[in-house]
Amino acid sequence: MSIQPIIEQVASVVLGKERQIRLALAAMLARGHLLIEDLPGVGKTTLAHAISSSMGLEFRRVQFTSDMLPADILGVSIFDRETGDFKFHPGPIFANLILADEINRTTPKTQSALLEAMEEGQVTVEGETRPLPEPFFVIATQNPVDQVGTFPLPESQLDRFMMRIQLGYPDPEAERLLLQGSSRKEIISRLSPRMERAELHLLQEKVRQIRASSALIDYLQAILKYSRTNPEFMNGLSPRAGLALLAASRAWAYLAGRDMVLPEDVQAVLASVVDHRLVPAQDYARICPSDMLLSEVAVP
Amino acid sequence: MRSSWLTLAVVLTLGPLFRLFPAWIILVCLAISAFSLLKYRNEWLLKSVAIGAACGVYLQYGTLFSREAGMALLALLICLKLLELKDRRDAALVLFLGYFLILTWFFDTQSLPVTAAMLALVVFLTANLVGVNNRTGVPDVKVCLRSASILLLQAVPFALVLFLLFPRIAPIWSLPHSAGSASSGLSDSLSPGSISNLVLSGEVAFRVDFRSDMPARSELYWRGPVLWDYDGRTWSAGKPRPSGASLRGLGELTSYDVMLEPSGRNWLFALDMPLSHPQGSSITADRQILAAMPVINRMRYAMTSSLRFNAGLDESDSNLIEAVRIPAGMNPKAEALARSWRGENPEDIVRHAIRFYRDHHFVYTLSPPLLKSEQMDDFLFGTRSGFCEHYASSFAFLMRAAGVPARIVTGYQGGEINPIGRYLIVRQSDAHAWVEIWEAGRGWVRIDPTASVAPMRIESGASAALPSSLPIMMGSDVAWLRNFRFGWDAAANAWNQWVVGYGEEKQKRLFSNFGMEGASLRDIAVTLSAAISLFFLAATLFLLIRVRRTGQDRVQEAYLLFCRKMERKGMARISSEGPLDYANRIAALQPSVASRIFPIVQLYVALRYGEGGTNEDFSRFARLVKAF
Repeated sequence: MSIQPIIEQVASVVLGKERQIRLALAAMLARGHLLIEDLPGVGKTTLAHAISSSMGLEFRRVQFTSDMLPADILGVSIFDRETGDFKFHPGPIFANLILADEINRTTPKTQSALLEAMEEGQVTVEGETRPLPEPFFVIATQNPVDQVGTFPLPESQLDRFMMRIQLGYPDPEAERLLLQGSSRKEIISRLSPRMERAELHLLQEKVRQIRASSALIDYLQAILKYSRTNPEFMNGLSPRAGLALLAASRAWAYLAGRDMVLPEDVQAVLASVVDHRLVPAQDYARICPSDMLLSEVAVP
Repeated sequence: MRSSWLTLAVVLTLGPLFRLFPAWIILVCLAISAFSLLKYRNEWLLKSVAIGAACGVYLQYGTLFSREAGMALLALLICLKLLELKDRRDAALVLFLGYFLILTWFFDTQSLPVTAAMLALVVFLTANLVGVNNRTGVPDVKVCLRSASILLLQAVPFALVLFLLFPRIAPIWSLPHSAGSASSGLSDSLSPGSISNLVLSGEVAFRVDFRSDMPARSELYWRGPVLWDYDGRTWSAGKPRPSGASLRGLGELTSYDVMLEPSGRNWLFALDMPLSHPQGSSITADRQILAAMPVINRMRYAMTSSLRFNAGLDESDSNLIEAVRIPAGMNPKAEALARSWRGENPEDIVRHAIRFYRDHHFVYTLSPPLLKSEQMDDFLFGTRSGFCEHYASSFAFLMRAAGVPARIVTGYQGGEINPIGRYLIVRQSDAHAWVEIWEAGRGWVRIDPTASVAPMRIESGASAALPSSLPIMMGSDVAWLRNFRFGWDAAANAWNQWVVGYGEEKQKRLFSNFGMEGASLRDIAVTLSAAISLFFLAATLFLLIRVRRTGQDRVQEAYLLFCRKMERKGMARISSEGPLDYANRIAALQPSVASRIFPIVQLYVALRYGEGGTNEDFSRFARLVKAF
């Protein structure tokens, strides 16, 4: 049981983005959700689709629009004339992997319906609580906030995504291959699952058992403390952010084939875990928070 | 540690067992152990030797289930197990059985040196166990011995608590004794040679703690079996006599505790004359104290004696008639001599006899010439040299022939004061025989003819009276040797009293010292488990703190040393740099050192961020850093 074939297969579809693929898989292994923020057309959907196909997960895509209502995602009860009863029609959220495309195009009301489902692992429709399938994983994409017609996600909701990654333009060689190769859509439809759905659960368990020694916890705490005490940031990292950082580091260590977390693992995932959580204070607006943490916090 | 160490351990566990086993078992054990070093494997050979060994044990002991048979079988099978050592588990099994086998040493003796040897062997067995369980290769003997010693030292407090508090439940603590264990010391009859044989033995017969002032050495007559019957060769006790003869103590009483070594006899020795007798024992009409059972364990009893006494004033006529009986016509000259004194009062007769010994220059010697069949005539008129048994028996004979009732008392005379422990040691070499005669109005009176021939014997003991004929170890003129012997005996005595003799009684006394008067088994069990739990709790806390603090810190210290070394070479670590990144950066800058820094960094990562690693990993890491 290995995750390597999956990385290779996804990398054959999303060209030149191995680091982002690894981060996305790390978020999955750490039971977190992923936010991809980038311009349209850089391969966000392709990445999500390739991952779900390679892992044999049930995949749904929801295109968020400004007129969308929570029921469009969660599902709705409709009166059935034959039985004389209300019957629940589950929405697109009842799947293993949801691609929430352009999440910042919809209203806060609908956003929060999705985000609550992400946090709780269940949805409540008309007073009835329904569990979501296991595993449940959301890849949300959003366009850069300065584009027209967006409702930016507030900090509290951004905190629920374990990681935020950016794809960026491919480098010239990768782009050349992309341009010369066959259609991505076709390639994705030909992908075969490289693992069983149950195996993902086992992998997640393994990741949880990766050792984080007290020396490493010291380093994590130093990072958290720095983010909270320094004036560069409006607010510090929350305990939930600390947990997410540790879980993501574990997953990264696992992907690197280690059974223990090193400071390097923390540093590798740090940018994707903290950059969307830390808001620089006005004077420091042009500084990337993770760069500051990486250079300022000493490895004990 | 290699498997030959294991073989050595097994051979050592046989230790003093050769005294319990017949020679063939020991030889077979040694042969199998030696053979195991050849590493020759053959299952059929193994099975047939095992069955053969079991049959041999059965033929030897007639059973497989007695104590000795079980021990012999265990010893043989442990040695056989050496032939089929396959993996770690087999080796551990052999070692665990070894622990069990050395416990059986206590069947033979529980003395201090044997215990010390056992402890040393336990260290060695544990070192083997450490070696066997080491999974990272074959460790050094010294390393194994060191960690075994540390382990055992850590177990000491636990062992002490268990020793002091564990309930002494009778069926667990009493050992099954083998029938017919040998008896040592005095015998129940007296013939030439029976006491002089003992004089060469330095074995301790008993030790005495005086609670009142110690009497003068010449008054220390330790009373044992009393002999009435003489058949011309041997004096023996004769038929048991009903008790009833009176005893009146005159003057001061002497009280003392006797710690008797096991003798296999039921005689309890006491200072002449014992007024009381310990519980569970009886006293005969001739004032000998008998235990209910033969003494096979070391025992301690309290006694009170009176050194001046009137004994047997009302002695029965039948006993008095028996006390003048001699085999008729066997020693005509001696009888004639004694008959010439007849009619005088007993005191004069005694004086005549003593003068006879003095006037004819009798010699006190350990190796007298053999006596012809008419012993008394030959001794009194021929050889005229002998040991206390000769003097006592010839004197008693003369008294009887002269019509004075007489009997022989055997036991010990004198003893050696141990200035270190302040107690008296009475050894087998202090064995003695003397005579009691009966006088109307005075009862039985002790006469020691040896004293008139060799007063030194009574004043200073046999070794002083016989300076040339004793081996050097028994001599008393080498001061440091004497002091060493006293010190050794004091240690052995303390060991016997406080460790071997720590039984139910002493345990109860200990509990009452701690205010747990009359503690029940339940209380003891609760106390014990509480003590053990506390112990383990403390140990766990200690280990947790130690691992967290020093265990981590010393790893980090060594790593920082490594970083300083690199800094001197111009490649300082950036404070926010992880170890792997740092190593990669150095390797990129200076590819020549890459092969040397990666092992260091990998060990560091494993020690600091991994499962913690073993001590050995750490020392390897520290060595590498130092050598860098």
